[in-house]
Amino acid sequence: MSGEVTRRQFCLAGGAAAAVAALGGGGALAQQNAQSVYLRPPGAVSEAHLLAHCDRCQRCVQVCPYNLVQPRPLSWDFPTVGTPELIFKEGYCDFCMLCVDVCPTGALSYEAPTAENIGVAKLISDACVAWDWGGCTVCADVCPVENAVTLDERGRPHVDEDLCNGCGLCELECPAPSLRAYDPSTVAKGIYVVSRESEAAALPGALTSAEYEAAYRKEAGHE
Amino acid sequence: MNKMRYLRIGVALAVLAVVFGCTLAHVPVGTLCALCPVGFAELTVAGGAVPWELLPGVLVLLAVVFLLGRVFCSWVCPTSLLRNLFGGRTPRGLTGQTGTCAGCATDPANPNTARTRNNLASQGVVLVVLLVVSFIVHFPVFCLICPIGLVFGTLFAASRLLVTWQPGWELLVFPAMLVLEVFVLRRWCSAICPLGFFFGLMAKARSRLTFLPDPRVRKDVCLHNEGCNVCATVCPEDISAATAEPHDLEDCTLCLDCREHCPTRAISLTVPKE
Repeated sequence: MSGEVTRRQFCLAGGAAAAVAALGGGGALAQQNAQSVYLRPPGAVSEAHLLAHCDRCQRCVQVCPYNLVQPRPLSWDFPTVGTPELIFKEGYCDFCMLCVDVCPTGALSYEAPTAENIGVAKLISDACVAWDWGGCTVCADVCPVENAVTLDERGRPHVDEDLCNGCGLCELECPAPSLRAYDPSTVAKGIYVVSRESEAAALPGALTSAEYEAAYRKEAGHE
Repeated sequence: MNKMRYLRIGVALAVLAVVFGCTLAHVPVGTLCALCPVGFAELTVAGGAVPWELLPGVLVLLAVVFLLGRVFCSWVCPTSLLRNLFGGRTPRGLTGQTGTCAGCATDPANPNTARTRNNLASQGVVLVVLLVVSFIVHFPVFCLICPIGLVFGTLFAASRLLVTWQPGWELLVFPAMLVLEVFVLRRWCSAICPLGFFFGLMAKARSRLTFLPDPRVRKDVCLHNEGCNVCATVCPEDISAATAEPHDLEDCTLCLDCREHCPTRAISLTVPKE
């Protein structure tokens, strides 16, 4: 009787071990195929480093005073589920570094290049109001970094990608969704902060909505 | 009445409420994942560096298990919370009165002979495999399916749904995985849970020491010799306290159901008299 139970338990354990192995393999594959590089909190060294060091304890999520740090939702890139991601919905990052301070695993660290520069703002030419018609100057007005967002002679905003630190205030304040009629072919906002590791960051200048979505696929939680 | 069960449900819910309240209040206490010895080991192999800052919390958890037995399992673990609320292995839901006792029919004189013991070997196999896989793929792989993490994941997803109206697939997938792990795979805790491997080691070390508290039976009032097996019937681990040897009590999670339901109140949580 007890021998039989032990055998059953071992079958269970073997099944669980196989599931873990399959999960690991599937996860590694999903990682390879994932186009997206998500916008991580300041101090994230790289996607691979964060994934290897984050234990999903959610302390950075809890401590963020502006609710920017959110656990990543479940997606096809499932190994990233529960790891921290920045969402500029209720505020922007003022580099208070509380998330780095509370990280117990070194997934976020002061040594990382992103500790002072989370990402870069990319203008979305077909969603930005100023791009087509001019007149809107919100992103240039609110930007806390001098000369990071400037307006050209036609009133179009331009981001100096060397100066921009990705704080997200322009994305937060961009009034495009309320200024233009709803158009399903464009993304909601005229400016988005993207990770400097992403393909979107590698494309020069302003992007179209299609380019942006293809290079930096926004998942649930962004829009 | 299932007083102890309601108390355990209360304690486990309180732990979730504290984590949730701290999230709203921006207090970085972290989830239970910050105390997890499995997570600690996984990150060590996945990241190639020991996350020393996690170590104090992990050691505190293991010390508690060493001193008090596997209290985490029945009082804190969200898996037990779900079983206490919705049924599952032996405690049959919120109002269920009785459990089953595997050994009571086959060997009423000592039901402990036929019960399913916590299987350190199979838990160890799972632990080794998950560490090897984590080492190869460079991320903590068991965290993706751990029922404790899934409960917290569901909570965070639910709060995202309610607070900012952002429904996610995890609201369907996580509960489905929990049903599979907690209610379909009824031996999850005793055969798979790698956390149980660490706790089992602690419990083994603990059973060598005789001065620590365990449920003990006063033989003069115990009705076991008259055929009573209530303690084994109500025990989630099928342990008969009346006939338990120290190695049987290694699996005890100190839920105290036996103490509550013993018809002669013969069981108490004490250190040995000698």
